[in-house]
Amino acid sequence: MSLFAEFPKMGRAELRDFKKGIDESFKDFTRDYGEAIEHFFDPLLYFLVWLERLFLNSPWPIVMTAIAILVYFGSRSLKLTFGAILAFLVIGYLDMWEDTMATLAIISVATIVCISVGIPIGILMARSNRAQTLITPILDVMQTIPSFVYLIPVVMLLGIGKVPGLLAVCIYAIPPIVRLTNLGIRLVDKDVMEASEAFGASYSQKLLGVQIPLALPNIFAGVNQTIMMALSMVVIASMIGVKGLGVPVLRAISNQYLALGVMNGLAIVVLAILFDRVSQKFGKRLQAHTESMK
Amino acid sequence: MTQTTKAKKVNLDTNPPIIKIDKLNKWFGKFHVLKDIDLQVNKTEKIVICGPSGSGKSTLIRCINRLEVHQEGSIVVDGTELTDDVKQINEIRSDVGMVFQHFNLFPHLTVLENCTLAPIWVRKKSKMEADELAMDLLTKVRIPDQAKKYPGQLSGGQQQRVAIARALCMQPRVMLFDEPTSALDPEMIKEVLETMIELAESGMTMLVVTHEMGFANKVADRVIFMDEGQIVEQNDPKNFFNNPKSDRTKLFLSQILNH
Repeated sequence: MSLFAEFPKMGRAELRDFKKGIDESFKDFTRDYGEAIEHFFDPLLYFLVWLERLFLNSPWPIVMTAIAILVYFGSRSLKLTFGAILAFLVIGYLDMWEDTMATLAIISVATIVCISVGIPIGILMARSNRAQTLITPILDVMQTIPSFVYLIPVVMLLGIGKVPGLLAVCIYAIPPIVRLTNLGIRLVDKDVMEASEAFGASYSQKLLGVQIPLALPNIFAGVNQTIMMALSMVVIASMIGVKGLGVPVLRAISNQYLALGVMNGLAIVVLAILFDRVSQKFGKRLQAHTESMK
Repeated sequence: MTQTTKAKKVNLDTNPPIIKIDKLNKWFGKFHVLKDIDLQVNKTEKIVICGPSGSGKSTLIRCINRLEVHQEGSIVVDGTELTDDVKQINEIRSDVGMVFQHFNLFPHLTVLENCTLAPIWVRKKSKMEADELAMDLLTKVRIPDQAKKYPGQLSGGQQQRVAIARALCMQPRVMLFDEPTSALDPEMIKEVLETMIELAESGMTMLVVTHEMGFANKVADRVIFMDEGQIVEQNDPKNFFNNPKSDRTKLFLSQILNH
């Protein structure tokens, strides 16, 4: 009868030992390999620090000009370029320049990492159905698990700092680029693939000559989404020691500074809108051939 | 258009067939789509394959460059047998040009780039050489002025002519046509057929799946009628159209010629 009254559960002592066992073995793993893993990510750290210094130490007019040029070449829109300049002037005037540059640096590095890791994984998934069934649930977990949960092992392993923050951002931001690369390649018209097959093209020739160019609009949508998700992680990343716009937001939460929180929050929004518009306009230009179709 | 490279393989026959199909059998699942097909195609021969839909005629020519895999029998193209060897398959494919019903042009490339992609990537030609050959062939199909446009900006007939030029850019030994005019509006069929007739006159070996009996009559050395996965009848066009032997051929001809 007691079976119905209470849910059958593990004994309290066993459960404690079970959790303790997992914690202990992960701690052992950390002790043994933590340092090696940390060194593995050293190049990434140097790159991030270098980029951050570059953004912060260059005189602001130069950074501003560089941003304006990038925005213009990405979007070919004067309106957007002047909007960007105006937005950065306001950000600087409200004393958020340094934090914005730090955020810009980590987003740039995170995006580069996500693209260079994500696109090959997406290609692998598109090539093999088995890889797809294997990787899809992992992507689901990465996107849905609360970020704080994977912050724990990341911090245990690498401590607090830039690299663990960068990793946390990448874990969260990489799924869209992987998914959309896979989808884009799989959506390439079968007839067109057949034509390239009929020419005797090898796998890599088909991939580089036909599939990737045709999947580019989708891949680009993935890059766009990855940037957006990376930006939305800056507050959480600042909890484990990443500098940037997330830090004042965090301070605002704990001290109830309304203005500070809103200002920095809006700065993140401005960055997001800029990245989004520029990358979307750029992506649209990549599919010039579709515009001429009826 | 004729290949000057003499056959590398020493063959004692004076005129070996360029395609030799023996006892070919193919199934789609349980459906027996090709039954004991025997077919030899000689160099410069033009063959038209016709038959009701589902008779296996498209499948047959798709087997020749292994877009379909056969289960029994053998296919030898220019002295090389089709096996699972990917390298060999790709070599044969690059020597066999194919024109599809729905053109299958690369939508992201201009007409000229469509024609040069495979020569540059697969044949490792220089861009200049490939461009020159492509422009030459685009002139032959009479659309050199469209070279910078994208396929989506062309009419169906123009797209199909580009597809023919694109296949010819690989300097193939054999050309396969899989219902090249079936997806076209009636007024565009003529321009494509004219291009094909010119190609035939240049001495190209051609296998054409089509219902254009006028084309068959004019160009074909041999007309093959297929039904239910078998070659029912083959003859030169004059005898094929004027006194078909089997009842099935008569029925088919009466259906497509009398309206």
